[in-house]
Amino acid sequence: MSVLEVLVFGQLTDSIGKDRIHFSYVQDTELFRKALNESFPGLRDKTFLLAVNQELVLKKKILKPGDTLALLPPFSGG
Amino acid sequence: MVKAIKHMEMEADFLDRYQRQIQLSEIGLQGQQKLRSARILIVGLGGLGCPVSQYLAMAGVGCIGLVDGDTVSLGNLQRQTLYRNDDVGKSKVQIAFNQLQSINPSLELLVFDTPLTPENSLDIVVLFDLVIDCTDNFTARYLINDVCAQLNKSWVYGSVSRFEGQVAVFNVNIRGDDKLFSLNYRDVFPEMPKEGEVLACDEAGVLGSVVGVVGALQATEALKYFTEAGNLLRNQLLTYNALKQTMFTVKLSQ
Repeated sequence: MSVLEVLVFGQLTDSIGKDRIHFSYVQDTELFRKALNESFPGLRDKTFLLAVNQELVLKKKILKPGDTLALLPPFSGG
Repeated sequence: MVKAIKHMEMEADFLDRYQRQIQLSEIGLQGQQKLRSARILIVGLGGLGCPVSQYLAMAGVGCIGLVDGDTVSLGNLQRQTLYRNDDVGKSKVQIAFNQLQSINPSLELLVFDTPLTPENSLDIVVLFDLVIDCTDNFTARYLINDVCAQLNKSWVYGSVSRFEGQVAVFNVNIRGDDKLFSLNYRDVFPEMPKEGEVLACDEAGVLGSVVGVVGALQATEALKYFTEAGNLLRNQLLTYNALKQTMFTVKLSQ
């Protein structure tokens, strides 16, 4: 399984067009963010957390094929 | 003698009113008494603040503070459960005060008819044990975070976007160590998003019942915080999605 599953939350779906996509495997989270920005330029200026297999990732993390990533922006409304 | 009878009547009312909570083994009489001495500040009396304040008033929280400088508008009535058509133009905290008093007359209510500001926030927050963020903007949310970090107070985050909502409990004291706290909002989102980056509800839209669900989740975390029932959403971020009816939880590492 040489893909990554990507779950998209909140208004980031406006930039990606879907709430779940499959993304070609890349080795780590830094390469993933770079590839994601290239595929979806609308994400470049967006604030969001990156989670891998439901754990927040703040530093570079090695990815495995089949990992599930989540893009979580802060919400504003109340 | 009259005083003693009055006291017994009050205790009988207390047991009767909260019987369904007291019979929960995770809460019991001890938990209910903890709620009676709890002091909770609700910042924002909009779509989240309305259900949060109603559930906490009904649950027997002893003292609730309400902070909001707004008046009720027609567009609020789609989701803000404390207000009625005749309330349009009136002060939110004043209407909320009347409604919550009529729900539970034994409740102590402290009303602040003002937004939370850098000038008033320390003086207000210091009066309470727990803060619930029911605001609709990042400026207020970062202010709540920073004041709570300064005063070592925990707070319950909640926010909505269209059909989704996020909930977490930040800055929880761990293992009784007065210097050790769980993550706060700035640990997770260090920088405030730029203006216009995240659309607010008036631009993006929101379903009223979704705000109710998220408010109910926040109220539940607050009740768990005081009764110590179950596990708090500490070092975790929960996202609720109404379209899929799913809850997705991410672990936030310390």
